[in-house]
Amino acid sequence: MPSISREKGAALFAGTARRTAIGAAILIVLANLLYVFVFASNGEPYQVSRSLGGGRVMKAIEVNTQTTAAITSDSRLMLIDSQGAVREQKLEGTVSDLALSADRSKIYVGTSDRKVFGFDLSLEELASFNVNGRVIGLDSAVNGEIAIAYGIGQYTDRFWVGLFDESGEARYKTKIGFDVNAVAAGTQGVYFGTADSKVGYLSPAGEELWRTNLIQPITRLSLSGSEELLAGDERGHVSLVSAKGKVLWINKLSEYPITLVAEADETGHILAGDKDGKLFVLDAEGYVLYDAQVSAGAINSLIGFASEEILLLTDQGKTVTVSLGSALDARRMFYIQTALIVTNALLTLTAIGALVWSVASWRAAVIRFGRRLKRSKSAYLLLLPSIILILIFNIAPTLMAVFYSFTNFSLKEPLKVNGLDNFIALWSDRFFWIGIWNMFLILVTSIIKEVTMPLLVAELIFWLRSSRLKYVLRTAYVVPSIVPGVVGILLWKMMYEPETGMINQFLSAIGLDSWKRAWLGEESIALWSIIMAGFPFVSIFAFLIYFGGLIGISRDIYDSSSIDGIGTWGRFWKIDLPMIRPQIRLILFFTFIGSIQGFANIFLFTRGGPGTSTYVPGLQMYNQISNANFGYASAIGFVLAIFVLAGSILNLRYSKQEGVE
Amino acid sequence: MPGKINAREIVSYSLLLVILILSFVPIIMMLSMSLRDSLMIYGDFWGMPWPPKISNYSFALIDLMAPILRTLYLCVVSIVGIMLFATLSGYAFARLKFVGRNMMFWIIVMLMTVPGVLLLTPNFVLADWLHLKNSLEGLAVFYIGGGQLFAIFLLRTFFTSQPEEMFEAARVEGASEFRCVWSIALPLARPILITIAIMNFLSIYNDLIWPMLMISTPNLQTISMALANYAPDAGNSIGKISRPDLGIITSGYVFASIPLLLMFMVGMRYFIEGLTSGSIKA
Repeated sequence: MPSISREKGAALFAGTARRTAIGAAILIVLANLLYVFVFASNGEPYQVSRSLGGGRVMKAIEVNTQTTAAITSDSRLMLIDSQGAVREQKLEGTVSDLALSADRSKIYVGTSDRKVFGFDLSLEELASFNVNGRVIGLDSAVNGEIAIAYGIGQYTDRFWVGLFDESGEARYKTKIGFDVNAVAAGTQGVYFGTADSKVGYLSPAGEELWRTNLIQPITRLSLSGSEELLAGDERGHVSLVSAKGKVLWINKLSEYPITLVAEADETGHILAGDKDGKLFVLDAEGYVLYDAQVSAGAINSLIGFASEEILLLTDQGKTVTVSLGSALDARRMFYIQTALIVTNALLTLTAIGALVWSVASWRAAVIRFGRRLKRSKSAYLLLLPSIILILIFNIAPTLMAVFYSFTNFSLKEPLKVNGLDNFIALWSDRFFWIGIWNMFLILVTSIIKEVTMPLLVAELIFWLRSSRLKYVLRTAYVVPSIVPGVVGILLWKMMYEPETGMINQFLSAIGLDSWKRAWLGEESIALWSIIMAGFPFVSIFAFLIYFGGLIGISRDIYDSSSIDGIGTWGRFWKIDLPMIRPQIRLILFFTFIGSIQGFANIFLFTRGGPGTSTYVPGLQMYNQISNANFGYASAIGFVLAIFVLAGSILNLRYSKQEGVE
Repeated sequence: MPGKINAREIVSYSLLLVILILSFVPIIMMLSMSLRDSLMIYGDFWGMPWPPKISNYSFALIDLMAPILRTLYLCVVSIVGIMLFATLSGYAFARLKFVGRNMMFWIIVMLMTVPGVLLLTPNFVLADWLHLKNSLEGLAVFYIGGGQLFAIFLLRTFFTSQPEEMFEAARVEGASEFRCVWSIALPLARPILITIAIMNFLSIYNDLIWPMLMISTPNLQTISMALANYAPDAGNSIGKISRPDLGIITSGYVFASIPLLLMFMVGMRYFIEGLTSGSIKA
């Protein structure tokens, strides 16, 4: 009785469900139409121009609306307009920074051979003077003076910030006590940033008023309109510090050094760029409102404002025109798009759900599935620990390995997908090919070792007539394997020792001194010594597997064969060998995988030496892991894994063929 | 005719004996050296270990007892973990019907083909993220995780071959699934569990590369790591160039072999039967 009413209710519900499905479909169409017509996208908020001047641009400043002054890494000072370089001047020494005087009539350039030059706007040299150290940075103060940071050496205490007039007369020189990386002149005093992650402030009299700790070595300083200090650092942090030296906020934008940080407009928006060519727009509280990978080189200079747009320059000499308004819109667009996708997904699910529910047989299937799921509960409970372990320790690392192979993952630089770079590098890596060749030799010899001696011993023992001796010998052959693997290898290493090793001692004892060698110390024989270690190669695993195979051969076959008068040799070739083919294939398979992956023995014997004579790819991978080159190490692992998988597939194919026979 | 067979047997026996002796050469060398004074070995390599110098063993015992016990602890924790979780899963795969059973088992079989060499790098990174480096328990967690696949595979195969009626009867009596696993499945699975335990013991006890990547503190070294760096000095007593004390080193090797010897004495039967039963035909 209840089932009838349930059916009825379900039927009633089916109508509602169908209507829901149609309703959801209509809503999807409406939502997307609304998006297309109301919020239609209007392109990227930035544009990149072609490269203006040659050379790497280190810094540029807008001189007036038409022209920009720039210095390049090949020590040229250039004036650039929208067409390219108008004028240029080659300077002696390496230029390090430039500044424009407050009245925009002079350009100052500092060099690392302790000189500061003054130029007029036609790049005629006006004056030059020396400071007591290479110039790190300079910035012009309001009253026409120049703040200069300079110093001697690296990580020394001989660094100063000084305030000079045009002729090089110093108002003050203040010793900072550690490498200065950047300097910025405010309306009153001068700010500086150091290599030990500090920023500080000097009063107009040159006294240090405060010094504050930030996180990483400072790369860039700039002042906001309200005289607050913006600082960028080596590891992508941007910080805002008040005029009193209080850290207002720190935000990590990037893994790369910050190459530009500057205020973008009066409302306090901040522009930042990193060495990787990424552009950021922050609000006054340091939150990222917009970011984009511009990919035109490191963004390092803000060269001008034009109506709604901001002009930036990269070290490739390309200008990037950023429209702040549409950049801020882009943030909103992102939210709208996300909302749209979520809405679409929810509506689509509703539509599908309602549609399924509206068809009686589908509905029944869903209900049945739900019941099965409920009944599976205790099974899932039993499986839960294994599932978690397998997810974390099998599935995750497999995916990570494949992903890392295509990245530059290391502790030296930020993670980046670099396509096939690792594999291309491997292809031309001499060590890798040496390793592959050695691996090949080890593989071939291991196969020979694993197939001959254990099989011989298994055959000999199997055909003994005394079953008691059979048992005794079988057990005796297993005994040597109680020695741990590491000990077995170390014992052989001991035997190979040139002075005290058993092999050379033995050669002496039988009068063959001329045969003595440094078995592991000579490039030409080291690999063969490693291969010969373990003589006479009765691998216990292979031996027992073969022995088991021989036991499994039916007596009838032998009975009929002995009537036919078949000899020992014929019996081996015609019966034993074909009958234990699956066991041989199994051993071949394990030997194959083991030889490609294993390198613990080589690690213990020679660590790849002498020279590279015993190098194998597995060892190379281990070394790369130890050096934290995880991307490259993964690529080596990936290549080896492909070898192993190829072996597995071959094995599977042959085992299927045998199954058919 | 019979005479000919005898001749063949003689050849067989002598060949087997020669190969056997050759296989034992390193072990004999180890035992002999471990009972001699290192300076005597340097002086006359072929001398007899008489009178035996037992003090070598007490030196090696002091140095290597801790790593051996540590490694045994690591093995026990790992093996118990592997067997516990894999038994639950193997039972579920073999005896329970649930949504996604075939797909999940297929995934496990596929994962078994992923070569270990591929996982070395990501596991190293993973260990760093999960703060599992430089701890024995962290090492054990990786062995438990890595050991799941094969153990589940073996246990499922085993449980599938057991008669269903037994479990059905227990369920009729009102036993829970956990109770079924604990009271019926586990005792039945003893031989296969011993095989799994032996296999994992051998691989964990002998593992060198992974512990070397994971462990950096000397007082957390496993026995393989400790042996690889084991070089007590023999030179100081004669005040000349320092040379490793071969006597103490080889005594250490003998000590390190004792756990495997014990394990073989207990489990040898299962090990040999498991491999020779002829059931292995991959």
